[in-house]
Amino acid sequence: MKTMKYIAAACLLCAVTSCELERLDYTEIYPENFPKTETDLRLAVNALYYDFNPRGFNGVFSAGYEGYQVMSDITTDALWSCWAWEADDYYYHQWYATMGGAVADDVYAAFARYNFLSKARNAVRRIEASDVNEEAKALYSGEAKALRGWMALYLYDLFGPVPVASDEVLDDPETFVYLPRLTDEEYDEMMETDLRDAIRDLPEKAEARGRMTKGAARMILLKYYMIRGFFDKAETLARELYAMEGSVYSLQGDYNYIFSKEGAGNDEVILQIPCNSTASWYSNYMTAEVLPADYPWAEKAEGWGGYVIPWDFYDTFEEGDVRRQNIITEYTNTSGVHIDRSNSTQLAKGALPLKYGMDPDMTGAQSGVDLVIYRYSDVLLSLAECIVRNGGQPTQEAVSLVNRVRDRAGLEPLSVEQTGTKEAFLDAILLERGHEFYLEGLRRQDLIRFGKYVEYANGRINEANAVEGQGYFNVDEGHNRFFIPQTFIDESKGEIKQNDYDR
Amino acid sequence: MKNILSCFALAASLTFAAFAAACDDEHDDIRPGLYTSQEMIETFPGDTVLVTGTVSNYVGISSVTLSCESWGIEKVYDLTREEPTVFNYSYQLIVPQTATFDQTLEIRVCDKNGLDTRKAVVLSFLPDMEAPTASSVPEQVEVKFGEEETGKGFWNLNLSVSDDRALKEARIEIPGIRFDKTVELSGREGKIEETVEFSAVGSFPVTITVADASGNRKVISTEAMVILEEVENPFEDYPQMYVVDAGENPDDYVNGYYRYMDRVGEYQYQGSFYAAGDNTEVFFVPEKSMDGDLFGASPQVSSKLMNNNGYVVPVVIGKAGYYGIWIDLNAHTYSMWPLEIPADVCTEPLWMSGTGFSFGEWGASDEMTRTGYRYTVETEITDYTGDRQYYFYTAGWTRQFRADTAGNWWYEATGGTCVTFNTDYRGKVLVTFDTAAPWGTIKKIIE
Amino acid sequence: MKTIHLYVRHLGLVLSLLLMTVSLAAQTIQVKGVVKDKSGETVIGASVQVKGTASGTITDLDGNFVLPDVKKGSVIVVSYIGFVTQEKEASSTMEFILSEDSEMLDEVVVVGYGTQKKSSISGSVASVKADELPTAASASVGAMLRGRAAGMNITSTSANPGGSMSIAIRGGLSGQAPLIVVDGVPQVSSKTVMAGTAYSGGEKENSLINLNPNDIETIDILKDASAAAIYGSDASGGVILITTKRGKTGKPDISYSGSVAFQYMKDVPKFLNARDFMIEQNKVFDELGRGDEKRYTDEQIANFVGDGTDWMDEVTRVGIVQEHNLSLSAGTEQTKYLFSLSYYDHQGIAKNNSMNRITGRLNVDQTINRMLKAGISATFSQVKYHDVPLGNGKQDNSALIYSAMTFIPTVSVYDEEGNYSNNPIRDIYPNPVSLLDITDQTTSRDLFVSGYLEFKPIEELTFRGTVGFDMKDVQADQYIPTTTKKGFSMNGQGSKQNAKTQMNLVNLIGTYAKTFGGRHDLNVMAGVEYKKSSWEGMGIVTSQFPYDGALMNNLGISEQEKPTISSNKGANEMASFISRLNYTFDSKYILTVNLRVDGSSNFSKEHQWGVFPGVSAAWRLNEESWLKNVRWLSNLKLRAGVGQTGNAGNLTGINSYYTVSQGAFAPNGTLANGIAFSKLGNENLKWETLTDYNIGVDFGFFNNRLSGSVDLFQRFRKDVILTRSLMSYHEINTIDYNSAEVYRSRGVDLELHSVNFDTKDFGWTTDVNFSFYRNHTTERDPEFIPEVYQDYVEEWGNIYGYRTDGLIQMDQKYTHLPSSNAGSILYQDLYGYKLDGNGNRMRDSEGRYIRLEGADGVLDAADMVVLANSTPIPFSINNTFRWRNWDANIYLYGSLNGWKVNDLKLQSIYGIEDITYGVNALEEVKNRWSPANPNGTMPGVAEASSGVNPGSSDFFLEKAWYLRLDNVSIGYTFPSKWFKNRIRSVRLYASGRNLAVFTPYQGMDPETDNGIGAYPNQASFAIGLDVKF
Repeated sequence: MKTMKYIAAACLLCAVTSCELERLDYTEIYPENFPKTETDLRLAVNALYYDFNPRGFNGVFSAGYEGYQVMSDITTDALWSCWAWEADDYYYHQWYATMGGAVADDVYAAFARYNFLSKARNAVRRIEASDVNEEAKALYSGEAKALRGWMALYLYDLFGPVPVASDEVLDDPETFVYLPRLTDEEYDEMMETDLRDAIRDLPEKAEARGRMTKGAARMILLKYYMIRGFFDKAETLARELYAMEGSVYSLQGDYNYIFSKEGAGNDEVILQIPCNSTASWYSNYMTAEVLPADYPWAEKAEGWGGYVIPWDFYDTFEEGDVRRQNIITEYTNTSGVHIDRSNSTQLAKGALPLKYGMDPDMTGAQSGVDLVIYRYSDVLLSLAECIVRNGGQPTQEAVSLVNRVRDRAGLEPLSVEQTGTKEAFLDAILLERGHEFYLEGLRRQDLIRFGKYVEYANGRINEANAVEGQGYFNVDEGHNRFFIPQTFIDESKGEIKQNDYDR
Repeated sequence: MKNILSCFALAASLTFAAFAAACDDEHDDIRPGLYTSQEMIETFPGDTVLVTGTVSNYVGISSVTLSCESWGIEKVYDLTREEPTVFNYSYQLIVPQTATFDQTLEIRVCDKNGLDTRKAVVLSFLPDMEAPTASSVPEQVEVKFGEEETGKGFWNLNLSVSDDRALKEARIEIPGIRFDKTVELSGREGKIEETVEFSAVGSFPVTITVADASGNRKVISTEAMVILEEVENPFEDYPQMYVVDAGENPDDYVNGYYRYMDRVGEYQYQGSFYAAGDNTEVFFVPEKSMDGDLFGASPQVSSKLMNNNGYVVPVVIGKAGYYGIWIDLNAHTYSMWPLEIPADVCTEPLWMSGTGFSFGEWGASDEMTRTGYRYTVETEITDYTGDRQYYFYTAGWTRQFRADTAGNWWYEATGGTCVTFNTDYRGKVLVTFDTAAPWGTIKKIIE
Repeated sequence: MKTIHLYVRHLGLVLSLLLMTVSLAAQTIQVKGVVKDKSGETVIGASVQVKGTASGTITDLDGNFVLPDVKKGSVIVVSYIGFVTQEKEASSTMEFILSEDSEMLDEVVVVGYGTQKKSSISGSVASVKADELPTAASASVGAMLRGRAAGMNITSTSANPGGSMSIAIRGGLSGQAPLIVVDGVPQVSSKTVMAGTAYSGGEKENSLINLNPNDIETIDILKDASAAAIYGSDASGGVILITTKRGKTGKPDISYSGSVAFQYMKDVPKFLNARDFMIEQNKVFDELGRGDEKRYTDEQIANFVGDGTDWMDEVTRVGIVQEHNLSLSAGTEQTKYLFSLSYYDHQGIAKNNSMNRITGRLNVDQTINRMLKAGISATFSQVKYHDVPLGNGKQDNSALIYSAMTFIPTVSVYDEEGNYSNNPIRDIYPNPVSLLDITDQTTSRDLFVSGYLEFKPIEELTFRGTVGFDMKDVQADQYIPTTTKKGFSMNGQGSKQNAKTQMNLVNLIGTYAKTFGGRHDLNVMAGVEYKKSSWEGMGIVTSQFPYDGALMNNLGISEQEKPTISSNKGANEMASFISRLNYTFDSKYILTVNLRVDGSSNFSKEHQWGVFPGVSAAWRLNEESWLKNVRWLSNLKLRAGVGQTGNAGNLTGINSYYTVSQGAFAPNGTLANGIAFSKLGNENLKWETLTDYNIGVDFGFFNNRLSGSVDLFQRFRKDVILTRSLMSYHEINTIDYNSAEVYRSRGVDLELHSVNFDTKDFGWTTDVNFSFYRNHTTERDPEFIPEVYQDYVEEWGNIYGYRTDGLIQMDQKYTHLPSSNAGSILYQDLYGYKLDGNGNRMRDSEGRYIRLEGADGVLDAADMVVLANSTPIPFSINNTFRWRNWDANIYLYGSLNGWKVNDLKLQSIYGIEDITYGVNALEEVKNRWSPANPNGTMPGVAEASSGVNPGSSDFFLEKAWYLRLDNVSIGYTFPSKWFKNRIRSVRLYASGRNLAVFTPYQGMDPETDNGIGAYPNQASFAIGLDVKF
């Protein structure tokens, strides 16, 4: 009897110590069972879109100064704000590498997004490694590669090449590898491999407004080529997009319809951020940033009354330009008082770019109108520019492309002098792009491409110093790129080299 | 067992409660506080008056009553449920139409111990001294003769009138065509819409008298100008307009004769002007020349603006002074209103500087002599290659008055551009600058 | 407890003299005798029975007894507690020498997986008898244990009904709450559940709240690791072993105890009444230079009578606490059972705020045959809370108490139309009475069943198998109606959240106990245990309701497009091997070795198993020959022990996983979810270990009239789990890791128990508990860089801040305080950074910036100094009195050291400016500095815009040591004669709880939360009844 007891106790004891204890928590999805199905792939890609949302500090396309579109316009002649402080730092290029304050925080937040390239790369590898049908894998890895290209374009545009981790480094996060910035050639190779795959795998029309498409991937690569100055490759790519007219894209008849609530998903838009006014992190705040508090608008709308188009830039618009319709120079406010330059601090600085139409159920600062990123008219103007830059002098095709955009804006065709020489035609294109894409965040790229970004900035600095006696310092060509925050340089133990900033 | 315990508990709690209640009895004999925001109310029958105030006491308030028997007002706030220790009342008192005056409104507050406080608010009659008001009517009104029907001219007069209490009637008299009509009105707002038929050309004085219930009257007079169709030259929605002094000769001026008017809407422009003396005459021109289009008043209807160079007569500014001017070419109307002098208007000594004058490049002119807000100085225009510029400044450049390069706007600034002009005139000039409505002019001095 | 023994003895003696009957008839003999113990001492009150008959007597003061008319040949049986019973044939004169029953010499202490005699304990264990604890007006046994055991510092963090407790054993170095084991089975830690997003009730205590204090027999606390090691990786915070009462042999013993207590608010800060408010607001407007914005005319102030609305009075009431307990215990030799029911109801002093608890318990012990014994202990408890919004949120988030303190006193509760009136100046502030409309109910149920089977094949060897099952579920419901401001803006918000946690346990223990050769007392225990705990829960929060009527009971009618829904589920397992050796040589030298091998699924693959040893030895000096017969020394024992326990900490860092991010993208404008990689696991992450060193001495003098123990301890905590950041370009750039930091705690615990008087009519005992400890961080991670004012080996509890020197007077200006005008606090600029050639700060060898004496014109971190150290010194003193049938108790506990910022005064700095918005402020504000009152001690309006946080200075830092008069009670036990023996005893008592706090701290309460929005503390007056049938 006793021995039986001993045997029983012994086997219970060894059963306990040897077995494998298992822990489970259903809120944690473990790597071994994700991604498994096609919906998993879509959910993984959905999470990547989150970084481009239009809200507050964490979104690339937020309506604040840190937003890509606002940062690209307010540092040029095309946009300003009556809130001074940070707005003037941007408008008069008063930034330098060792500065503190709000601009430094914005630049830090922008550069810190370079880990998205690793996140997207890991997502692509997980999608390709999953055993889902090939067709779904191609679609979603294409979408992830396009998003990776989009963020890489944003980073290159602001900072130039950034460090990118190789797959081996990504697989072993706990060892500290100090990465230098990629060379321009390496960056080109990364962009082309990603975006060529995306162009191959993505559908012509997305299954939902806001998702990546073949055209959008082409547009991102086209923008990259224009920044890099590869105008020959840019021309061929622009012609591929040009060929999609009629089947996929078209030039809308009514310019302002494109940016209206009813116009959501119109076929001139190549890439947009879809908005929903009930979700605060997916609402369009561009309207609130411009709308004066006393401007008659949607019933529950709330305006902060900040951004303006400076009067000098407004005056370059020609008479009768349809695109001036949503740029307000004076209005009668909600209490019946006539408001114009003389009695409004905002209007004193410039006209109101109320480009995005009224969303009747806008609540507070949140409007549901989609945020437009790239449009088909950009294809026409870019193609025209490439033809002239490659050919050396304006051709009939280039001129007719520009005149289609001018005609849509209700303007006469370009005059003979404007299309006479290459320089005059390019200047005409630059001005036309300024008017066509106000508030769409393309002005900085255009001015840098035309070599006028710093020149215009110094012009504004001198005028401010002369007229208002400000003490702004002048800037040099180094300002075509933003500075890299010192914390990242320190972390990389000096591998990352600063852009052209002496202090 | 349990019920023994609970009755025991009940006894204990009663003793505690009694102890707690007794402790604050020393405030029991204090009357409640009553505050009314108005001691005396001036009102009139049909008016509504807001009576506000606060009642308060250490113990709870049971009721607040506002009563005035003669006006049949008895408002009771029954607060017995909550018995608050402070209560803000605000009562919309409606004065009956049949109200007689110098009554008193008695406000009485009563607390839960029955103590009460009363206050009497005097209700006195506020005579109606206020005359009715009417929308503005221009001095002269144009009636086109023979336009709709041959041999007839129709003038549809519409006028909105209002009164602080009650309107009674409006009488329209046009002696020239023996037209005399009285329109009944009531309430505080009214609209007069009449179509008057003229059977002959000419000018007919019109008087409209609006009366309110208390007999206060508002007289409006205008003149109906029944005229044949006037021919007007074609015009367009110019980018800007200029106001000019019809009494001056443009050739006498080197700079500043044409005064810029902003385009504020389709066919609408707005600017400012200084009339040196009474009955100063002005014209409006779209270009800096008097030969092209020229806008003035119709010789027949002084309030009608029309473009007919040579036919129109200048618009007359009755009294001297600073005026804002607003014109609408399409509606053929204009309006002028006196500008107030800005508070921080500059009256310090002023100098002129610039290029192309006898005082040398960016040199300083003599100190300008000031009359009112207008500064003048004599200087001389000399040979000068390049654009000629000028601006005005006070001692130490604390305040500077400059203009944009085209000379459209003059404004106070601490630096920046100056107006640039060219002239082939050489010789003495009189430079004037007006700090009240900033504008600079250079006029030749012809010996 | 001792006193009751003596008391029973005396009573027994007196009774027996009274009941002496006439001696029986002839052919019987008279037996006279004496009973002594082995050492020749006479045994008083021993029971002397004639076997087989009902007649018997007990020995008198000299141990003699007389038994008249005893039949010849019958057997006399003499027995007494603690001695072996003896039987002898009756003879006329007899003498009995009773030998001590070593088994029952002294009390038994529960030490985890078994019990041990107190004399043979070598670890540091503190015991508390549950019957001594005052139960009136205390919900959880945690509240009653405050200060009862040296080294266990319990503070209640909030004063609301069922408010949360923080239990820290020996300085709380591990940051973990102690493990609570009831009848050998650990409780599952339940998940706190928060309903709703806008408001929440006070934090709740969820570890001891579901136990009925009257069910508890003893509470033993394993303080040091040598004792706690037996519970291994859960025991780093110490172990509290709770043993519930078991059934007793004899006829059914029914007892009822109950009490009713009334609670009144105490230490409530005074805020301005209406008239003062109007006067002060006008003054503040003048001081801010905005005189034209004044709202109240002098005439309005003059006509104001009374104090205006007393908002605190509108939202509070007299609290009532009732408790009723019924317990029935009975048993034969074979079956002993105890059945108890209890009902506890606490109507809190805030209206609509209440808590009630119902518990039921059944303990059965059944002896099946000579070898087999079994038993179960099952309890069910249900606790229901009705909560009111609490917390220190400001402006539109202000909860009940905060808004009652700060709402404008010049408006009534309801306006003319009967709606809740608003603050006329700025209407974002919620009307305090409207917050009472919020429904917030939480119901938590606990079913706790454990059963054991004991098999004793031979006398020395027992096998005991235990099966335990603890299931807790919490259901929290909340509805914010549209009559409140927040409810109006969301059209009502309804929320239901629930969480279920469950623990199943099975263990098999074998214990072998034998005394070899009378001198070697060996006790060996070994066993295995398997525990599986699982949890699940779900919740929904939604708004946009068409009407309020259905509250949160019909969430389907909400029109919110995408309500927030969530659910979770998970489980983890744990297996352990347990063993203990206890060897006593000649009852003088004691050795105890505990060993536990723990395996948990929470640990990573490589570290799934951990070993936790604990060794302790003790020497009982009083058993030594040279001390044996020292009259006045009754007990002297030296103890020493070292042991290790584990601390799983937040060990969830071992797994890499993805999580769902709701609404990551909005294709076509409609929200869609995404899944993203969210945590990088660290495979070789292991648990933190705590190593304890403990030396102690237990002493007892004058026959244990004065006894106690002193323990010196030192603890080290290593491998602390922290978060490290990786290279910033990685997808996830943080990971949990075992840091090189070492925390050390050193301290001393002192326990004293003295029986001052113990005569027949009068008894007085005193207990004193005292513990002093200091915690330090001794080692750091290599990349750690200390602050300029921070020393490398840093003492916990240090308060750093600026020194201040009164207020800035008229037209004084200081360069280092650029935006501080007259009336703001004068912070002192004591130091400046040491700069090198081109102006950069220099660092010392440890990487710390160097600072130099003397002002540098800048107020920055360099000027911060150690202001004070707030490590508490827990202390308590308990006096129990007995005079004839009266008994009384006076109990004080507290901490002899403490520093706290007076949060009321600190908030009044910003409160001054808020007065202009119609927000009421502390009455002290009247004594603020202003040009008209230059020697005011409170800062003026200028301080709010000084740009410096006054909380990080010593201006409002106050001494906060305190002694709380926790319990004063007096009771009377009616003589049982009155009830003709049908009722054994009836005791009636009255007690006062938390009557006073002796402290220099002028804030609300030195122990509980003391912000403006804190739940006010209460004094309670209770009357209670204990009846035993």
